[in-house]
Amino acid sequence: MGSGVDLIFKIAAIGIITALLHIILKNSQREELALMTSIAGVVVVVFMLMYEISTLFDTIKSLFGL
Amino acid sequence: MIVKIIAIAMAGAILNVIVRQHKSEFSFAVAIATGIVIFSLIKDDVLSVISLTKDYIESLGLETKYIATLFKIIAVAYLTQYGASICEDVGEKSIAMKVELAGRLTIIIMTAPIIFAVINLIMGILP
Repeated sequence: MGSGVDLIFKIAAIGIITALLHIILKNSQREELALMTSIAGVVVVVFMLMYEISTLFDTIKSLFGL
Repeated sequence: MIVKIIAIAMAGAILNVIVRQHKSEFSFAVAIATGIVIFSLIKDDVLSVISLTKDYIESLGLETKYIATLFKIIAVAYLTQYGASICEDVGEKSIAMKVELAGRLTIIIMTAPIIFAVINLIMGILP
């Protein structure tokens, strides 16, 4: 999806936002919600990465004729 | 081009430090993303190198079957090193070792026909 450099910044932004959300929710005594948001953030990032990794492996396969 | 790659690598590294401090689950994601972006930059150069070597070998009239295997081995080596270094980043040394072992085995399996061909050649020459 995010071709080029903005992929890195997108993932870092999601990480920082999840961290912020985690801290805010923890202070407002909602531990379980904080945990949920953290897990949701990780899942979103992993799905984004999965798409990029599959394109990477396809290009390598087509490039080197694997 | 190389300056661009170095700039992206540094940006990724700095972001990784920030993300690792607050939320360490995302540090591997930033590392993988940087690797993907850098590879997408050097993709065209790799393609030109491969076609260059292939044309040169063909112009010499040599057999291109072994050169294709050579490129496959380079691809396997690169992928194994990529996966192993990501595992090491996260701190999973044991998994990285297993990935490297698997990579070495696949390379050995790929080189088997070439080694046998060379040995047959040598045996043929010997009186």
